Amino acid sequence: MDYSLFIPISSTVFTLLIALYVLFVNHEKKSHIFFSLLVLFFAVFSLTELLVRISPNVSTALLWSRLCYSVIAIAPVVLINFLFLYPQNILDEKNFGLKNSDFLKFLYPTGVFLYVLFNLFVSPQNVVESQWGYRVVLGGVTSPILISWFLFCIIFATANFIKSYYLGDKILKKSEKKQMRLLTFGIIVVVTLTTGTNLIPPLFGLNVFPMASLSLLLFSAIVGYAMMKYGFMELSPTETADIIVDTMSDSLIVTNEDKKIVNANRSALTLLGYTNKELRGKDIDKILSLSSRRNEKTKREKTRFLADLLSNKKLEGIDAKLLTKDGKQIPANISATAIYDNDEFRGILITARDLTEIKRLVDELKEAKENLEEKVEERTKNLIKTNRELIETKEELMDLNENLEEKVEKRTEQVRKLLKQKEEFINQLGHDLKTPLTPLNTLLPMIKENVDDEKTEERLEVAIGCVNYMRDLVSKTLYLAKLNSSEIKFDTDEVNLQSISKSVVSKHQINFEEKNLEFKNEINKDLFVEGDELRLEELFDNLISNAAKYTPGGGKIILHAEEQKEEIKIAVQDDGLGMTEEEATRIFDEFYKADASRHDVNSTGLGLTISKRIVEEHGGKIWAESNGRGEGSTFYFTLKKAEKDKE
Amino acid sequence: MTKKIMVVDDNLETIYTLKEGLEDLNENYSVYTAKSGEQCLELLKEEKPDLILLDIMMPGISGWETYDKIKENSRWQNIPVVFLTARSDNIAKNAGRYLGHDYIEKPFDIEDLNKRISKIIG
Repeated sequence: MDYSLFIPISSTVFTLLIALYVLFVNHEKKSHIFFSLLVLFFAVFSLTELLVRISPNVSTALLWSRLCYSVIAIAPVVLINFLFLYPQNILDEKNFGLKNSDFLKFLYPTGVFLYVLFNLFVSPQNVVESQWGYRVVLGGVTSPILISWFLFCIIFATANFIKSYYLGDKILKKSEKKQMRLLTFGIIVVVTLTTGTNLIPPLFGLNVFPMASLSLLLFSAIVGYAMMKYGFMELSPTETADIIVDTMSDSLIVTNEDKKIVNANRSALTLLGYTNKELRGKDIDKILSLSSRRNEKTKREKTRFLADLLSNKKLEGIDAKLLTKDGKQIPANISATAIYDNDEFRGILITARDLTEIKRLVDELKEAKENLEEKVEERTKNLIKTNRELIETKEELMDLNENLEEKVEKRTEQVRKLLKQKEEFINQLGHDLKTPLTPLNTLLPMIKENVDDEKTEERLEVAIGCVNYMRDLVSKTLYLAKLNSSEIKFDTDEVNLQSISKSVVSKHQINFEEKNLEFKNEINKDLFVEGDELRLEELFDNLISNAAKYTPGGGKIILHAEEQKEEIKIAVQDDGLGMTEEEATRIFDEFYKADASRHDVNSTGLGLTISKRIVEEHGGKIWAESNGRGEGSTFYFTLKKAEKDKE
Repeated sequence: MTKKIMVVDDNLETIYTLKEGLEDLNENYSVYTAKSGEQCLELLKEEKPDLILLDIMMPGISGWETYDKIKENSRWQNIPVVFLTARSDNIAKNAGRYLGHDYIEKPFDIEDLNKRISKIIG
C-alpha cells in the first residue's frame, strides 16, 4: 500500500466536502454557487491526479488526463457563463454592450478551443513516471494543477473586476475587502508552493513528490474559511439597491395604500430618529405635515396633495415638515410618487430633502436684513435728530448773530457818539484856548515895541516865546486830533517830489543861512508819488525843520529819494544830535522828546507824530536810523509811486 | 480917508486887541465893536462900516445867522465880511455855503490880518 496516495485521496474528499459546504451552508445567497463550483472543479483535479498515478500504463494515464482536461475546458464556460448570467439582473442588460446570446456564441467556441489546446499537451512525452507512479506535467509542473490555477486566477479576477466596476471600491464592505485580501494571499501561497515543489526537486535529480492535489486542498480550505468568516461576495440586486438607497443623502420613505409606512432608508431613519421597526406601520401623516401653520389649511392641502398625487402620479418640490421622534420639526422639500401595480394603487414613495441648513441660512439672511433695516432706521432717526438739532443751533446762532449785530451796531453808534463828543470837546477846548491866545499874541509884541527899558523888553521876549510855543502846541494838537478823526479827507493826486521839496526848502532857506547849514537836495525831478500835496508839504516841512532844529551850526542836511519796486523811499539825513536805538523807536510817540537836552529847543514834540500819521495815511512807513548820540540821524519814509510813473 | 471896521465878537479881550492892534497898525482905520450878532445888526442900522470882522461862535444869533441877515439886507449886502474863528472845522463844515469867503483863524497874527484887510478895502 502506497501511503502517499492518501494525499490525493484526502484532497479529493475534503475539497469535495468544502464544495458541498460552500454550496449548502448558506443557500439564501446565490454567489456562493460560483465558488462552490470552483471548488468542485478542484476536487475533480485532485481525483484526476489520483487516477493518473494509479494508472497501470501510460495510455490509461493519458485517458484520465484527457478526461480531466475536458472538464477543465468546460469549467470556464460554465463558470463564466454563470458569472455573467447570474448578475445580469443588477447589470441591467448592460453586459458591456453584449447580449446574453453573444456570450454563449463567444463562450462555447472558447470552450472547444481550450479543450483542443489542453489536449495538445496530453501526449506521451508529458507523462512522467516515477516510483510514485505517473504524472502528467506541463513545463515541469503537474499540468492539471497548473491549469486549474490558471483557470481560477482568470475567473477570480474577472469576478472582482465586474463587482468593483459596477459598485465601486467604496461600496465593498470592510469584511469583503478582507476576504479579497485573504483569497489573494491564498493564491500566492499555494501557487508558490505548487511550482516550488514541482520545479525544485528535478534540479537536484530527485523525483517530484506527487502532492499537487494538496495545494488544491489547501486553497479550497482557504476559500471555505473566507466564505465562512466573511460571507460571500454579495452581488444580489436587492442588496445592491439597498446600498444605493441607504447611502443616498435624501430620505426615502415608502408607504402602503393605507399610507402606513412600510420601509424607509437609512437617511430617513437617521433624520427622524426612529429605528426601522419603530417606523414601520406608522401613518405617514404622523411624521409628515405639509407646510402650513393653520391646521384647517393643512387638512385641505393634505387632501389635495393626495388627490393630486393620485391623478398625476408624481408631485415634486413641495414644502413640508418632518416630525422627528423627539418632537422636532424639520423643514423639508419632498417629492412623492404613487406606486401602482397593474393600475392598482399600492402606496406612495416619498423622498424628502432636509432643508434645516438652508432654512437656517435663509433665516440668518433674513435676520441680517432685518438688523440692517433696523440699523438703517436708527441711523436715519439719528440723522434726522442731528439735523433738527443743527437747524435749532443754526437758528440760535442766527438769533445770536442778529443780537450781536444789533449790539455791535449799538456799541459802534455809542463809540461814534463818544468819538464825536471827544472831537467836539477837543475842538471846543482848542477854541477856548485859542481865543485868549489872540490878544496875548497881538498885544505883547505891541507892548514890546513901545518899551525902552531893556530889562522889561527881555522879560517880554520870554513871555512872547512862551505864547508862541503855546500857540504852536494848541494848533498842532488840534491838527493831530483832526488827522485822527474820521472827518479828514485826503485828496490824492500825483505829486512831484522835487517841486514839493523845493517849495518847502525855500521856506527854510533863511533858517539854514542863519545857522550856516549846508543843505543838499538830491531828489530827481522825474519822481512822482501819490498823495495829498498839502499833507506831504507838511510832512517835508516837519522833517526838514526837525533836521534844521537838531543840527548844530555848520552841519549838513541831505534830502534824498530812492526809487523802489512800487514805492519811493525818501531820506532826510542830518549830522546832528543823533539818538540811541531805543529812542529811534519811541521818537514817533506823542509828546516824546529824546532827552532833556531838547527841551531848550522850541518844540512841541508833535511834529513826528503828525508826520507818522500822514505817512501811514498814505499807506507808507516811516522810521528813524542813527548810529547813536552825536552821530547824526536819518529819517526814512516811503510813499507809493504814482501810476503815471509806472506806465 | 478913514475906513470904518466893525469887529463882532463876544470875547471882550479879542475886541480890545483887534481895535488896539488894527488902529495901531493903520491910522486910517476906525474900529468899532459889537458884542453880539444882535448888537451888530443894531449898529448897522446907524452906521455902515467898510468891513465887518465877524466871529462865528457867539451866544445868541451866531456869526452865520448874522452874516445871512446882513446879506439879506440890500443896503448892507455889499459890505465885505471876514470871518473870525478859532475852529477851522466850522469853516470846513459850512464850506458849501460860504465858500470863497475870507476867514481868519484864531489865534491870528495881527500884521497878517492887517495885510488881508488892506487888500480888501485898499
